[in-house]
Amino acid sequence: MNTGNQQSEPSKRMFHVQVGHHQMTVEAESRAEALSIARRKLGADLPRLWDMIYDMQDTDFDIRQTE
Amino acid sequence: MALHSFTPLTEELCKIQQEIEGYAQRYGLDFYPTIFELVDHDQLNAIAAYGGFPTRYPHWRFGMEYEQLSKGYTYGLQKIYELVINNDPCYAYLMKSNELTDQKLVMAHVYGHCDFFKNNHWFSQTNRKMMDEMANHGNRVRRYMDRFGVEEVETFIDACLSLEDLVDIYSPFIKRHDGPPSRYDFSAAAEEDSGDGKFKAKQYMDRFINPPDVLRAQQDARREEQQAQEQRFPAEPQRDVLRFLVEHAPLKAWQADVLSIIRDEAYYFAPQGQTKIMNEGWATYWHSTIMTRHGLQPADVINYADHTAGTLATQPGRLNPYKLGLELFRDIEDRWNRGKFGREYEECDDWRAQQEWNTEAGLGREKIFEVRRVHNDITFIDSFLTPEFCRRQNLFSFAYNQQSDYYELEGREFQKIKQRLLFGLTNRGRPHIHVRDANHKNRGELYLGHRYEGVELDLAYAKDTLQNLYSLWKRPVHIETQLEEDLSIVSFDGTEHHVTKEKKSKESA
Repeated sequence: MNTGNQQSEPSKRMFHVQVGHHQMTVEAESRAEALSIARRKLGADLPRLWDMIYDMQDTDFDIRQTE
Repeated sequence: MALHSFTPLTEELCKIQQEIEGYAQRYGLDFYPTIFELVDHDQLNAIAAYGGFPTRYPHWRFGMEYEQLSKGYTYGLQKIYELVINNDPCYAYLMKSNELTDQKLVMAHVYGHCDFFKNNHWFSQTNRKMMDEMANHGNRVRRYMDRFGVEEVETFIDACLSLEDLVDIYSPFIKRHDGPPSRYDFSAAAEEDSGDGKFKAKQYMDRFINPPDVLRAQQDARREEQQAQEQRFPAEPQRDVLRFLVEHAPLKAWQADVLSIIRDEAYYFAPQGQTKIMNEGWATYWHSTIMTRHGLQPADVINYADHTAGTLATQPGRLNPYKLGLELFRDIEDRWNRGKFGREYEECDDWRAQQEWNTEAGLGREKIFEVRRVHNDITFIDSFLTPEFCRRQNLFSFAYNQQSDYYELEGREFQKIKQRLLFGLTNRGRPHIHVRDANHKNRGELYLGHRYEGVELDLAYAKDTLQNLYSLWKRPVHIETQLEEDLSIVSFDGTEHHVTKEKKSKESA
């Protein structure tokens, strides 16, 4: 059995994302993905601020890996 | 009532205006130049009684409305926050006694209205110089009063005002009447000659395919119908009853002019009735967005929240246009932001997947601007009221289904709610009435038709209106309607009313 070509599942890590008073913990492969998930979640939680959330610069979000 | 001594804005308010106008422009709102006037409560009540205009024709009803508003204000029952006029430039009024937070809120709200007036299609045919036009109407009526007496002119205006709803609100957008035919246009005559109704056939088969006696009968029937059409006056039912009266009622020149003034004003105000929910919803959406994101200082929050809650409060059983319009705009924005539209979404039968649907389409803002451009209240509700929205807004409730042991959405109930909403908005809730025959029984009597849609005419109102109509038409007037499931004709012959039951409608005759 040749398993040499099989790709292993990329490991997921936990990120803490904070913007203003809002903070959340998301599971993602990278900082970019964590940011994208956070935007998505915030957009769903705060539909009236959708345009602002998606217009914000990446640097406005504080992203820290927790593990 | 000193209507013309408005105070200019204070320096502080001027700065606030510039600030709020800047926010509005940055969000893409597009409006005519907007002029704010500072007025006291008495002036504001007077302007509101005049329908927002500082100068109107004189009539007792404006005084009556002023009294009503004044008393309401004095007893603390009501207070007008904002008043804005669809005009170029837009005029808006600020109450002097309002706090600064309220002034900001009103300004943001006004810019929403101004954008709506300028860009909504249903306002596109309104006169943008109505401020001047209204003043002009006032001068004309005042001149007639000087010449013919206040009593006579005012009594005539009373009669006209009772008919002011009898206009065709869609006529500015539809060409219902052709102009007079050109004297060089012979197409109708040519058509008359060639219209023999023959099928194409070989000569030897012609006698069988186009039997001469059938053709002759067809031609006779066509000719008869054409003659009947030519004799009927008007040739087709006329929805714009006021226009018909201006053109054909035996009125004196000043009376025709006053009636045309009432008609012009009815058409000017019609789109405001057609878009009440959207217009208020749009303005509230923008004042809410501007205030919560930019305009509010920490000290203003309680006051702002209190007043907004007051505006958006819905009493059970009553429709609040501010609330319904705002929530629908927000719902549309959210749905289009998350891509919750289109065939794929509609056909998705997984409830959870639909709830969590998010394609990150981000089209919400663009969509609500499109909606404000093309829709009126009827098409707005018809296109965007969803069962999901009804459930969230408690417009109807879930029902427990014992058989399935589930709380289920009452689908039919939603349809009923939607239908009831649309029914109340159709023709602005007024009955559909049209002129059918202006030479009824060949006696020059006016015969109107009422399109029965499940609600009977209020007979007391119908009788009074017929009386007023008689004073304009000067010959007996009739209206065909349905009363207690019978086709009935209500008539007024100048002295008394009659109600007769009919078997067959004139339209179907």
